[in-house]
Amino acid sequence: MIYLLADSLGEDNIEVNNNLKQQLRVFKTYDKPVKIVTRDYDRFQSQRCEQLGIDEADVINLFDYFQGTVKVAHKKPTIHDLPQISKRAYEIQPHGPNYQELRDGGRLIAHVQIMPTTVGQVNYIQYFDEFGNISLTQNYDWRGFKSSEDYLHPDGNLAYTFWFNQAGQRVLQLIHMYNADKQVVPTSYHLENYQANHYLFGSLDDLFSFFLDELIKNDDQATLIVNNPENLATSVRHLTGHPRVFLRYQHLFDPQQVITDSTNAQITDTIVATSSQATVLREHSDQVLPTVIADMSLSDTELHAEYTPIVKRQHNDIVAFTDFTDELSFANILKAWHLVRKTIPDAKLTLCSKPDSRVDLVAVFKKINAEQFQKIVNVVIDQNGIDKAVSTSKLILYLSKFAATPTTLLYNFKDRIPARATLSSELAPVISDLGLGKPISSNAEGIAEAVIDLLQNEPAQQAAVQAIETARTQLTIDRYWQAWQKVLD
Amino acid sequence: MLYFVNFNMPVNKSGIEHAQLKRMALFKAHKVPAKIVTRDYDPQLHDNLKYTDLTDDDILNEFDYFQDATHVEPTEVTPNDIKIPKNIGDQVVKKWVADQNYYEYYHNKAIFMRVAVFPNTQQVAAVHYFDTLQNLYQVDYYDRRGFISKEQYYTPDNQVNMEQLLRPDGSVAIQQFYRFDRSMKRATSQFRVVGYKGKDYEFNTISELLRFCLDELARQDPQVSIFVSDRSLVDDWSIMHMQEKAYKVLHLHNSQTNDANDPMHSGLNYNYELGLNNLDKWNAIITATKKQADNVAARFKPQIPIFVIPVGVVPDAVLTEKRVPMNQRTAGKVIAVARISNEKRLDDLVRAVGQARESVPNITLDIYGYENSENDYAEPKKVRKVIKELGLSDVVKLKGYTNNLLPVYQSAQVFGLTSRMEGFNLSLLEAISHGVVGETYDVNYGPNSIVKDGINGHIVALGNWHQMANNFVKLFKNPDLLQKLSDGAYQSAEEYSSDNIWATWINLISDANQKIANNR
Repeated sequence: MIYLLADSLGEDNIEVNNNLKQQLRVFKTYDKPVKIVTRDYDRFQSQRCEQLGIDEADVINLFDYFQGTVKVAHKKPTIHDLPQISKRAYEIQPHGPNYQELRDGGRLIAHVQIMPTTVGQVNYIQYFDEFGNISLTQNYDWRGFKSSEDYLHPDGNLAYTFWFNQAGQRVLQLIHMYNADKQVVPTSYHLENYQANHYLFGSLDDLFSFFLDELIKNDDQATLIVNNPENLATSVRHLTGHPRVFLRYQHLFDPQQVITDSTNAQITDTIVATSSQATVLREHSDQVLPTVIADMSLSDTELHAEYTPIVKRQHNDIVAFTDFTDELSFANILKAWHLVRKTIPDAKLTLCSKPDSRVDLVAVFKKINAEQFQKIVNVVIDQNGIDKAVSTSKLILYLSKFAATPTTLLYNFKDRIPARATLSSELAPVISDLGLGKPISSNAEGIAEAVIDLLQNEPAQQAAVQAIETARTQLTIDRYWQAWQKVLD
Repeated sequence: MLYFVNFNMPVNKSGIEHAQLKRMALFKAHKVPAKIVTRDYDPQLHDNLKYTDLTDDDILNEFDYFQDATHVEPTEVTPNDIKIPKNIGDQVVKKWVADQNYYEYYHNKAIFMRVAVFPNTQQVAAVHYFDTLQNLYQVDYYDRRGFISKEQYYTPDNQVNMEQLLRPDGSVAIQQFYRFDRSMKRATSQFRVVGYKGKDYEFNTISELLRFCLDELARQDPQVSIFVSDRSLVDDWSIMHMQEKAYKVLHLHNSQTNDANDPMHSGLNYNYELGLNNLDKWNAIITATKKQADNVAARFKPQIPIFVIPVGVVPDAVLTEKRVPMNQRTAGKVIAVARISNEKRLDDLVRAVGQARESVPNITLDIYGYENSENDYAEPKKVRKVIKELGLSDVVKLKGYTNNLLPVYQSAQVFGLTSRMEGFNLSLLEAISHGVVGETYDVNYGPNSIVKDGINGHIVALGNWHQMANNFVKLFKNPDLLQKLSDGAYQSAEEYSSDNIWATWINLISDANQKIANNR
């Protein structure tokens, strides 16, 4: 079995999710047994599967595994359906579509939050004492069962989380207590009555190692493709079993760390997304000879899908993938847009990025507003927003170093949209190698010149589209399979 | 069904628990269904029943009730039965800490578990769990019958944060939370009953929880439910606020006023203040003596009946037992059976014995009862100080609590009682039923009814220990008088025979049937 490891299918993992979809499709197409394996607790995972177009039967989550809820029939219980709620004792008060309350003679007993996009399906129930303190929070899985409970310390810090199986028995607990600096942190996981035994783990990494070992213990063909090595390498380094392990990096945030991770005896090979990344690693260590695979393929359906040709796209809308932590790049694109607007007054820009907790989006909007670009420059950080922006775009820019991966280029290929990458972007050499266009300067003038040139120069547009068409022929799933086959065989 | 409500049935019992035990024996003898209902959690409750004649059928603890643990067959759980995490099991070091009665378990020199056992056994009492940074985060308390009955979770500053009471099958029955109240004191903030007949319920206090439990008992009772509040401070609110139809009885086990000897004017005893100010919420009152009933009627003019039911029952076997003449008892032996606390004023009794000793050199005093820990054992310290000051260390002995008083009663000659107030005083009744002569202050209520002056002992003015000392001298210098009063004691116990007491209960039950059953 091939196991495609990721920390989660969360909305923050746009790049990894797209890569996983690519990998899952190619292995399934070629009849290789394959599963996506996720580590983090996510009671919305099945909803994420729906949103991503992934069959939830193709995914195993650590918590689901121990909870015995990998495969569960979907229900959509409302508060009125939950048998433990005494409708005789408590009044259920509606408060619009988002929440309800349980009250006893006016006193608030519980707040019932409703799942987004549903009619009354219970999301979580928070119980209060008479002083208004939260006693506990019961969390429901998207599939309609109580999955976990959170308890707080009196100071409001998270204290314990209990996870349950379908019979309502606790199977796992996470404890939060003091560390040496008197900060409340997760200190241990206790797996209870798993195959009649208890287990104690000091971290989620250790628990994930144990889980993976359990998953593969009867599988001598086990192959792990680790899509979040930054988060998961520690776990695979401590496996008791000996599967083949491939660390699949999207970006080289820290080449030295990649080398450290890769040199462990458990690791079979390292895979990077671009040949330039491989070159960087080779420069840092003669031991590491990474394989290059771009998770970039188009199915027959996608190759022949309808699309809106660039000539029919009405507006001068441009999408730019950027990384808001790269402040210079952000400043350059805003400056460039002033220059673009002088020549093309209706040019509009959508800045796309992955969600990043380090980014203060309020500050981002303030900077945009300071340039009087409120109605001209938009920001999206979610998959739907990106899809929508791309659907009307005439050009996709790749601005900063870690803004996108080769998989992101599929936006260009699906809708035949020209691509331009600055010299800063990791994608610049890929785009160049694919014949889609030479790197452009990272400064404002260079960016503006490239945008104006493409929007105003119809032959250049046509040439760019033609280059895309040509490159598309190299993106068949068969070629992509061959790349993986070479690694796996 | 009759339900006698209390806080617990501990090994060291007060007069109320003894009264309940005698009452239960009476009801069992007459095959009338009754149960003692206890409010507080006690993992040793059922094991402690071995010190009584009660069985699991006779007692119902509210936590047991929700935990489905009223009847559980005891099983042995030893430290070897406690699961050690399998992934570290090969590298565990186990240490026995004898003075703490527990085993400690270490992995890589870090403690991860501690298993405490019940004294002098290998039966697991509690398991303490430590996280990987050696913070204590959870303690599992085992019921003496061999199952985890409570999981207790801790805060980082080592305070109890949350408790889960479990059923024997491991499912959660009750959750109890400890949070800051509005004055930022950490207190019990909520009880959650989980999965009781498939439903969850929330309660702010243990009184609300008890009210719910009692209502459930009443709701399921095919007979008229009679609830007797035996420990008002613990149960009166819950009984008064029951929603199901039931016959509710306020039992005055002690004086209803702070000064028992000023029943018309003194402030109310805080134990009964709420109940007495809400007499419309009760169906009846029980007092142990007619004198108390008269005083309550005079002051409160209740619209409900007052039943005089002595809390003591002298079993037929005692009434017919072979009498022990005074000359076969320990000459000069005075006893007191009372906890050593302020209201018992045992220092007066010590002083009386000290004074009498000047004329009766062989007089001795044995005090049986546990020592009240209030104010850092202030009262026991005070009594010991008086003993020392009067040079009575060889004369007066603090014997502690005992469950076996029969040989004490059969070898003593005089029972001394110097309390400020009483509700009845079972020990005094037991003593006279075994022929011990009573010497008591004229104290409401009970002692001045049980002791009949010149018949089975003497009543002296409250606080007049000099007179009590004179009485001791008179008794011990006059064997005929001593024997006469002892005979009177044996005789007077017949007033408290099983038949006589039962007849008073029948009156109450009839009233309940008439008022409740007919209204159903």
